[in-house]
Amino acid sequence: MKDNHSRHAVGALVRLELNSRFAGVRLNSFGGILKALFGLGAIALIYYLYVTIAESIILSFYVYNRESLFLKLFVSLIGFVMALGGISSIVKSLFFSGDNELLIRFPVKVMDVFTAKVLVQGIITFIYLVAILLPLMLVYGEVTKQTLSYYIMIPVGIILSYAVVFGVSILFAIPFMRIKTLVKDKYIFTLVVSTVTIAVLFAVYMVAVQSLMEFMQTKAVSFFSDGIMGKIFVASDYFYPFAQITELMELKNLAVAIPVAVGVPAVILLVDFLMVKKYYLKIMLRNLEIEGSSFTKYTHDAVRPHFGSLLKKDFLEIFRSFNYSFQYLAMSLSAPVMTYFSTRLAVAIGAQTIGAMIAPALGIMVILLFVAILVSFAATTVSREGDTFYMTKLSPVPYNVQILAKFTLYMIVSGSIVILSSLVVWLGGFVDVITFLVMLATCLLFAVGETCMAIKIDLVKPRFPIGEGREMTSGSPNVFISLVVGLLFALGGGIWAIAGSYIFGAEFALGILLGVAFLYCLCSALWCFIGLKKAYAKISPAR
Amino acid sequence: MLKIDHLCKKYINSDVYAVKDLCIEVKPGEMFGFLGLNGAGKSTTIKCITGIYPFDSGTIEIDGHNIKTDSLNAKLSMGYVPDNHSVYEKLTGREYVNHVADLYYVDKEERKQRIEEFAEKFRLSFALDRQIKGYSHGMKQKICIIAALIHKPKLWILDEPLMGLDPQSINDIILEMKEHCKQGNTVFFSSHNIDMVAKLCDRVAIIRKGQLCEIIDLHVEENKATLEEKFLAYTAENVVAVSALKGWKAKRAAKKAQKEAKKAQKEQVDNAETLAAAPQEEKVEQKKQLRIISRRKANKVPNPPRFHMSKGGK
Repeated sequence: MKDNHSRHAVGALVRLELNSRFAGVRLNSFGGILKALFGLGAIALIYYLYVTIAESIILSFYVYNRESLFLKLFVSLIGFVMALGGISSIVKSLFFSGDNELLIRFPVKVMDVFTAKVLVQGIITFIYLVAILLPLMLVYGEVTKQTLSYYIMIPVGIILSYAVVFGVSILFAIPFMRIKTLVKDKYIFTLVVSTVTIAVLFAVYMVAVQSLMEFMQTKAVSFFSDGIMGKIFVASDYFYPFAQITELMELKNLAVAIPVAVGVPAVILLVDFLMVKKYYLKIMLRNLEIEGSSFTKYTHDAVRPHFGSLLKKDFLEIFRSFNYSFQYLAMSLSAPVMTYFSTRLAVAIGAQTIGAMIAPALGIMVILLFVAILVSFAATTVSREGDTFYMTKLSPVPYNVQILAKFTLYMIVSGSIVILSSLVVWLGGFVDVITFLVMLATCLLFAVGETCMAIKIDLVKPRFPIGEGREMTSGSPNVFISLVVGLLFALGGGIWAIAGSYIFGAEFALGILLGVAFLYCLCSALWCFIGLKKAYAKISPAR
Repeated sequence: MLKIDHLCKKYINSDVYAVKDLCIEVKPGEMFGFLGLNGAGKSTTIKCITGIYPFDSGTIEIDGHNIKTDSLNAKLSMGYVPDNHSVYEKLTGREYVNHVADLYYVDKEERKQRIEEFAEKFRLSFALDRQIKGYSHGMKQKICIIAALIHKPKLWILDEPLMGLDPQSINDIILEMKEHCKQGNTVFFSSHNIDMVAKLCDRVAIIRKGQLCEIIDLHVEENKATLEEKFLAYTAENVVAVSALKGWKAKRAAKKAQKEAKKAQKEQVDNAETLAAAPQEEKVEQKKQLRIISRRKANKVPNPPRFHMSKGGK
């Protein structure tokens, strides 16, 4: 009876979770069907490219008799990336989906709530994992002419990989939440730690990649040389337990493969179970309690002009939010470090392949890419505020002052990114002073244009987060559009600058890019400010 | 102070007017109530007055300033307390009120004095330097009220201001509303609490399906007594969810609703006559009885919560 009730509760919760996640999917209109068809087409195209590329890579490994190394490397890489990405999804699903307070009131066990939430997230992760691994494993079997046993073992390999990926995500998600609840309201500390972590991780990654590239080039060895391959081959055995899972699929080294491939996922899941049983409810309740708690800060009743007051309010709203502070401020603050290492790597590779003349163009492209990614945050201008936006809207402050305050905040951040990033590229010796100035002007113009465009996109159709006090933790379509346009410009501009520098010379190519950036800035600013009043006035609460 | 002239508002993708040809004029020093069922158009009208919603036709003037053509001056004359107590929750109470004071050009000394005064009046001094995120429903409402009053607006608009508040907080807010009017300012508020509206307001407007039914002068004692009956009579048609039904069921329901409305109106007239004929001491008791009967007849309408003044009531 008890089990039956539990099963019903889990079933109902799963349906609830699925409904809330896929509420936006509608196939009862022409637009909805078109959207779905477009999505399917895009997936088919991506799939085609993915399989074609995978096939050619497997072939190159196969030619050198290193095909099993490919399988080990690839499955490990996918597993690692998905486990890492899964932590954030699990945290969002378990603690920030906004329904915990509601669900806790129902007569359902906490384990049921956990199971329902994890089940839905688990199904989604499983679908992704199958979609990525299955075609690759099939192509691998086809290219390397595997026997029937390999094909029989594919589902086993996928299930074991999935158990590891999902188990590891849960394993890290719960301690992560615990740490998060501990550092709540310690805004400066959180910002500094996030910034340093991002910068250090990125720097270590880039240095490692560059060292590998330099090693391969200076030693004049190919990736498939026996020396390199041998080292990677030995190292790949330590990619527990993914390496052993692939060995199990190929029925190799079974004495070690079976206990590791089966034992490690089992141990991870057991630890997950014990940890969830002991800590999930505690952390969930603590989080619920902490979400509603607040800090005390004594301030003076200082008078500020409209502009300053709006600027301060906007900054505090971002700074005092863990999500916004991380995705905008911490990323922006670490951008100069990321720019330096990316430029160093790009110049090192580019100079040895095409020539030193493209170094400035590479530097510009790297900065443009970072600006495009970070400035897309401006596409949350109005959406981010939710219902409180209307309290500013009804104030006796002209709409253009309200927008200008927001624009200024974004420009302070993006301007700082551009200036500091350009400075590190110049001081790092990658460009001369003239190129530095051109780089600075081009990237600033691009930042202004991108900011204007992102603001207008959000003003035209704001996407308010649903629910009281909710933040935009999931991707907003406005941010996505802004990001795509920004990246297209950054990549297009960058590729032109590289190719143009090589063919016509750096001065000409960068001059043209500067002109295009100016035009982009002008057009975006015009688009943003013409009709701004109308777009602003039109924003009203949905009924 | 507030002049709404032939206001029409239709929502995007809707064929029906949410507010149609609404005309209301509110005088300085007046406390004006705005009654209507859920979805009658009260909040829509208020959002048009505050400039949150654009509207299709008509004019709205606040202290002589047109909300469309002279919006900044119109907004300067007005303070608004929303029904959803939306505030910047990451700020502290003091930071939020100071931010609003900045937007309304309140100088340093004045704001300092008012913040302390209001915080004390609304018993919020202890939480003023705390982040709003941790406030309770009532505290959020109070901080919204302090922010709305920080610039001493000539017109104070409140959208269902007393919903979910404890009696002490309700009393604090009512006292402030009265005080505001006493100073020659105007209070315009929407509510579902008919008793409270009858006790507090100088005049009241009843709105149904976006259209004005009647503006009732509550200085006339009889109007006060019959406000609830009138409200129920005007809104009786809404008791049956005619729109949810189809075909013969809809027709039958509509007929029934019309009958009920007519009956209620007829009874009102009869009651008024009976009252006029009855001796003075019986009148009070009869009024009470009539109200109970009337409420029972309209038993599909949830009874409005009773209001009890703890002190200073009219």
